[in-house]
Amino acid sequence: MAQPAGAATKALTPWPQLADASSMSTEVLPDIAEDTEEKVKEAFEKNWNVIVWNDPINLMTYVVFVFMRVLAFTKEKATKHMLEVHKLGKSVVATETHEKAELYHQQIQAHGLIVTIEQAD
Amino acid sequence: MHVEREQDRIRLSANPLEAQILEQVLRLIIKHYQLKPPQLDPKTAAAWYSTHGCKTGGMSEEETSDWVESLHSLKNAQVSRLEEWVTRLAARQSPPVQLELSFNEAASFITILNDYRLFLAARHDIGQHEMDLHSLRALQELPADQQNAICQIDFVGWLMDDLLRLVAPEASRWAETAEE
Repeated sequence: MAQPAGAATKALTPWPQLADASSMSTEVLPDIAEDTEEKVKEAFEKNWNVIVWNDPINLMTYVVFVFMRVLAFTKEKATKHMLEVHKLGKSVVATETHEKAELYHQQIQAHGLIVTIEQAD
Repeated sequence: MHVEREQDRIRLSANPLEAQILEQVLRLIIKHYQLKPPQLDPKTAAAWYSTHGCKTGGMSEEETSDWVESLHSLKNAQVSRLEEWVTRLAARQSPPVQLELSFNEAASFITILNDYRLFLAARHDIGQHEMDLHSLRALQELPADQQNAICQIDFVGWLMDDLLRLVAPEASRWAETAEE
């Protein structure tokens, strides 16, 4: 930025002396690195189950349709999981990262199915 | 009511009575899609916006609230399209009354019809027992509102099945896979 004309020149404040890197304490850095690494690992870990539950209203054909549309299942896989829901009361339709499991949770529920997510054992 | 596919469009043909019933269904859905979840009656809110999965998923109260709001936005976004369909049904010139939908619209229409079934079931306490009734006599022993609700749930279910046959023929033939 240009100085205004006529402005008095002030003595510059010297930059603070930087410490020698080799003498700097490194106690904080490994904890932060470890914590970040843990969080990144957790975010990418596929350990969240998406569970669809049986209900008396949703049509079996509709459930197959939703599985094919939302989860991109083949007809065979969609039918297998639909029959599990129907006969056993529930089915784990996906095991994913937390973020993806939450996305499936919302999309499946938006189609009217009963769905929960929980951490896999 | 009759549904047929013409190239990439789905055509629904209804007699005047069927068209009026469908119009009533869509009007009710429009009204309830516009309501924010806390404004809904608890039974409808539980059917459409259950937060049980949010709890098991470890969401905070704030995250749950955002999640519910997001789900509501998805439903509310359907309202203008629903209003168009109602206008077309209400126009009712000479029978049959026709409603034409693109493939994508038909898929959304199916989910909207499903929401109506869930709404009725929740409002009138229709559970497994009521859905498993196999005789007219057993149906007639239920209170009138439940009888009405079950008939509507079945009627809309048949329409959904017909639409799925055209929109998702593979899903519609799931029983063939089960027999193998």
